[in-house]
Parts: sequence; structure tokens; C-alpha cells
Amino acid sequence: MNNLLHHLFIPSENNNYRSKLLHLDFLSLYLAVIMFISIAYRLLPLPNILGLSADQSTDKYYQLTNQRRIENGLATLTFNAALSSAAVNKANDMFASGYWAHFNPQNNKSPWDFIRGAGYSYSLAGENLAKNFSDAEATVNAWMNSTSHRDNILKASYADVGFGIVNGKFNGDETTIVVQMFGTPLKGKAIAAKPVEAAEKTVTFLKPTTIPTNIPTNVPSPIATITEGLDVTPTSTTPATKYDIVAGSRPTDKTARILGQLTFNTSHLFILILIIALILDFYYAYKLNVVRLTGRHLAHFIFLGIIFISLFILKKGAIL
Amino acid sequence: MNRQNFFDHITKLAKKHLFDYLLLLTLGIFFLVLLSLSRGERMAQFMILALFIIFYIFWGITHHLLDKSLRPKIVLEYFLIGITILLLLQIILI
Repeated sequence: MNNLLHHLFIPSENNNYRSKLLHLDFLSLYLAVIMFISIAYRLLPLPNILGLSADQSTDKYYQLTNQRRIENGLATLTFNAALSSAAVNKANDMFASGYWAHFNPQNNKSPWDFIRGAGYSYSLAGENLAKNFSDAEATVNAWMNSTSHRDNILKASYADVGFGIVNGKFNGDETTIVVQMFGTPLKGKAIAAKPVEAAEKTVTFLKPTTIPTNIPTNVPSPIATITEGLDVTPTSTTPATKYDIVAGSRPTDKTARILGQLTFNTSHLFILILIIALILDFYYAYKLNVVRLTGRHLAHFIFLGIIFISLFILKKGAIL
Repeated sequence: MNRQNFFDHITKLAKKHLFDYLLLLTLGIFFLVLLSLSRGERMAQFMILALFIIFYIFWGITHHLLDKSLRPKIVLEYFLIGITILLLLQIILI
């Protein structure tokens, strides 16, 4: 084992004084293997690795949101099926119309329309959005690091919360959208009936008051995307329990997500191993006074270092 | 040969091609900023990284050309590393 590692990493007579991992035949082998995996991903019905995110469940979001509230000395929120239904409908609408905003730029439909449409009459409501995060923890942390989103999570006057986690094709990309909706029922209870007109006058518009200015930059793509991008699960719009609503609960997704996570972590490890091989090769080549004609170690090191850092950035999604 | 000599050796190499390495590093950081600005947009992120990889290959060829050390093996080395990373990112992102 020691000899093998030595042969792979340390320049010596056995490997022509260059780490075997950096030889052209090995570099060609990496390319061949990655080409094979790439073709396999294309041929097999697998989602792209970061598209269907891991560890995204309503349960997890509910738990993390209440955890943050408890940490800040606030009462926990009650899970509300109507708010969750509204959140799922909102996410489906974003996929269908291809917009990333609080308001639908095509018909100006607001989050409040979805909440009322699901039969939740409120005196106070709010909405947090996120897309393409790798896990629930990362999403909630990103919300907590943004003042307006944090204000929503930590608003003492909210009583209920609901979540919509929907996977689908968003403008051609495999995407996970998370919608978190908060509410305080009108007169202390959620009324599953037509909204009372007076309720609209008492609504506190938390985030969306500043949102409409962003709409022009998020104008959706052509109508063709609407039908193409409608590969969304679930399609059900009926209020359900928190477990029914989770989009990523299809059994096949679990295997795909594990495979995706494995591929992502292996990619990180592969780049790290190349960086280590470069450092060792550079050090021992200097120590042994080896003169050779190869690419610059420092250049490869800078390049691979930047790619390594970029993989961390790729795991982070966007919030709104 | 001690550790100090080794670091002197690195400094000497970096100084010899200071502009080249600074260019690669600066552009790399610039691409990282762009990548961060386009969080959540997988296709845009892939395009940004693809541009960086293309830049890296051209940087390598130009650098060795100016250094009068350009050989087919070196070109192949830059290509193999660049294309491998590009394919890897393609698997991850799209």
C-alpha cells in the first residue's frame, strides 16, 4: 500500500520522476472515466446532480424554522396544511410561468392570492423563497443571514407556517424551489372559506412591498417554456398533510439523490487528490533537482484551487 | 535543502512570471465572483466556469509560447486537465 501511494504521489525512478497521477496516461484515463460517467448520466434517466437537492423535506424545514425561533426565545409556529398547499401552488406557478419573483409578472398574482386561494384567511402573512440549495440547513441559514427573510422567520406575531418543496424543470434547468409561507389567522383562526373583504385592509405586506421593482428583470421566458417546464411534482393542489406535500418524496428520487451526492463528493475528492499530487510532485522535483518539460505546477495549482472553491459556491442556491 | 530554500524557490518561480500568474489568479477570482453572483442559475454558472477553463487552456499555451517552452505534450496536458474538469462540471451542473 505504501509503495503504491509512493508510486502514485512521489516522483522517483519508478515513475520517471513524476507523480504517476500527473502522467499523461493517467490524465487521459481520468478523461475517459469522466466521459463514461457523463454518457451514463445522459443515457440513464437520472436527474442532474445538483438539480434534485438532498435532505429537502417539509419536516426538516419545519423543524429548522422552529429551532431558530426557539433559539431566539420565540414561540414555535404551527404547521398549517392550507399554507403548505398555497406554497406548493405558488411553486408550481413559478415553474409553469418560469418566473423567479414574489409576484407573477404575467398576471401580477401575489403570494396573498395563493394563501387566500388555499382557504387561509389572514391578518398577517409573509413569504420566503429559495431555489437550488443543496440541503434544508443551507437554505434556512441563507434566510437567517438575510435581514428581510430573517425577520419573517423570527416574527413573533406569526402563528402558522407552511412549506412547498417542488422539483422540476425551470427554464430548462433541473431546479428545486422552496416556498415558505407564514400567516396569522384572522381573528385567531384560519377560516377555510372565501376571504373576508375587510381582511385585505388589515394585511401587513412584509417583503413584497419592495418586490415589484424587481419584476422586469425576472420576466419569464417565452410561453414555450411553460409547457416544457411543467415537469413538476407533485401536481396535486389539494390541501394535504405536511408529508404529502413534499415533492422530493418519490422513492426513485432518494437513490438518485444519494448517487448525486456521491458523485459531487467524489468530484471534490478527485480535485483535492490532484492538488495534493501537484504539491508533492513540485516539492520532490525541487528536492531531487529534477529538470523536465511539463506544464506549470503553480498554474495548475491556481486553476484547480479555483475549481475546488467553485464547487462550494455551486452548492449554494438563491433566495428571494 | 531546507524549507526556507523551497519557499525561496517558489517565490523565484512566481516572480519570474509574475504578470502571468497574477493574470491567472485575478481572472480566477473574477470568475469566482461571477459564479457567486449567479447563484441558483445552473446554466449560467456552467457557462462562467467553461469560459474560465477555456481561458486557462489559452493562458497555458500563450505562457509557454512566450517562455519558448511550448511542446505538444504540454499542450496536451493543459487540454486533458481542462477538458476533464469541464466534463466533470457538466455532469454536476447540467
